[in-house]
Amino acid sequence: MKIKQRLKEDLKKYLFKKQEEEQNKVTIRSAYKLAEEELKSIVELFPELKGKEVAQIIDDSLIAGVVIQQGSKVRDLSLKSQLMSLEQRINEIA
Amino acid sequence: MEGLGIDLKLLIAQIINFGLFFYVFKRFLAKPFVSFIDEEKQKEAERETSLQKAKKLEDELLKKEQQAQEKARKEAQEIVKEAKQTAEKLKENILSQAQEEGQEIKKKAQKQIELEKETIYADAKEKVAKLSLFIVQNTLREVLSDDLRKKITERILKNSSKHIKLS
Repeated sequence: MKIKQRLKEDLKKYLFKKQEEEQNKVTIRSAYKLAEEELKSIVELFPELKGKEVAQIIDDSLIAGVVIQQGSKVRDLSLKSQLMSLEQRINEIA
Repeated sequence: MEGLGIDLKLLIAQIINFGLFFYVFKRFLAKPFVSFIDEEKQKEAERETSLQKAKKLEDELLKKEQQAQEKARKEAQEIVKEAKQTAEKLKENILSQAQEEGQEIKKKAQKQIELEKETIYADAKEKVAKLSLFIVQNTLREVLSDDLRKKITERILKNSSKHIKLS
């Protein structure tokens, strides 16, 4: 299927713009509502989050810790994921 | 002479008679008779010889027949012996083959059992791990207070500089 060059360019621009918007958005999921100090400490820990729009989501299934999502990048610092790693290790051992 | 009862004339006549008879016999009958007798004797001798030859032949044939029977008996015995040996060997081969196959089947079955054991064990281990973690997660969710959660979150964030998981 032949796509027009102009359409291609417009599509590319749109996708890049979307990607940038997604990169600027940061979602932090936690088991409880994080306080300002806690959010600050998170931003200090990950300097690339500075100046980004941070959205908080409460997710009880995490038990404790946080999950930081920036675009397609996800940093899982939750207790839930650590317990799942432990489960995997138990399966590997013995 | 007459007193003894011997008649001389009769005697002389008988002697002459006998002489004539003897002469006639010798001249006309003796030869053919003797030759007839000789012929008969010869024939008898020939018959005897033929009989002996036939007897000899019969003996030889009998001997040959006995020899042939003996040979055939021996050959039959040999054949039977060989057949028995072959049958024994075959029987041994079949037995050993059956034993080997039996061992193979046993080994395979044991391997299969071991594999299944391992599978069951791995499966059970996985389920136990999952169940345990599920129980732990649910318990923590119910038991942990907000303060404790905060403390745990702080701890995780402190440690995350060394162990950051990127996914």
